[in-house]
Amino acid sequence: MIELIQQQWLQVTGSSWLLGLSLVGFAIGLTLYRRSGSRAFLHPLLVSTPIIAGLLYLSNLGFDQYYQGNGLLSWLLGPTTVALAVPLSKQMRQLPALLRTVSLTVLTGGFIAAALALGLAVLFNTSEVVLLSIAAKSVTTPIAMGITDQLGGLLTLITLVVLLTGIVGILVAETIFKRTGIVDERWQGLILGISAHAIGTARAFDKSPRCGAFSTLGMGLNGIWTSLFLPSLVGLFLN
Amino acid sequence: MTFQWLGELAVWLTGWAIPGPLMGMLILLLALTFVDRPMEFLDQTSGLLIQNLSLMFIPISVGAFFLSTDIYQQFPAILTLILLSTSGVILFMALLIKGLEKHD
Repeated sequence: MIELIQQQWLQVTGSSWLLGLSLVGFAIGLTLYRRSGSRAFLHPLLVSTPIIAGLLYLSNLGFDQYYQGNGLLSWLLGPTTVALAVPLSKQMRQLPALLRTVSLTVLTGGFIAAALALGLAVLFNTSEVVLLSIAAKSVTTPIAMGITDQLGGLLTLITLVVLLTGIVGILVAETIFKRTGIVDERWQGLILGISAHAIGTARAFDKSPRCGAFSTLGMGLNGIWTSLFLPSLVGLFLN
Repeated sequence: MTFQWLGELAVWLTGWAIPGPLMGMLILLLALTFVDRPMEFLDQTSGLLIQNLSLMFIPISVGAFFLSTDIYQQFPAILTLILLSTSGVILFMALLIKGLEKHD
């Protein structure tokens, strides 16, 4: 326990001026995203990270140095994961009446999302470390990072995979909703939350608060559910 | 006030098999089911953190540009995999919900 606190203290105090680089990059990304009317492919992360990476290459700074200098930001992910409980708790009250559809969709949807990704990884013959780093792709990033860390995957890869999954999710979801005739915003939200996590949830809140609320619910429940079954499921695909 | 519950988090982090922060979220969720509404400061703090989630992902996401060439070579496969599995699961859930609605 004391070691853990020491480790976190070092992580936070290791922060340096390099943190400013992240802030500036984020500000540029966010401005562009808002100006464009929240277009998925202009997501702040997709815009700001190449700028920062480019600057690091130009200034001959290594990634490790930059990452250490941003310890505070990475550390905040922990408390933020905990904070997800607050919006989730507000949705729990609606749950009893819709329990059957919500639970069935989360249980099967979350499982299939992971199983499909792992199955395709085996089919495409990707390396083991890639397989371990894509397994948690439909889960919201702070939880996905926790799971991936325990599986032994690459944290730098899972964040990118999660981000791309979210963007693909909101791009294809509209067409699928139209084709299959899903018009109820509660279900649209639930599906977006399970398959496209926080990016889907942000998109759902654009539609309506109700849609966003169900998306939060889908995202949160799927995060919990996936963290429970994924370690054993991954074991099956490794052999 | 913020640090009060951030400090609590550290306590939850001790030696569990599932990620510490996730465990912390479950415990907070459980605690919140017993209160009528989340306290004001909790609501504000969590709202602020969640709104700035993207910023916290920046450091680790920059790492995507510093991966090994071995990973980059597998990138077309990874991209196809994301596209297929994400579309697949959305289609599945849409059909499932449609089926459940008809059943009622």
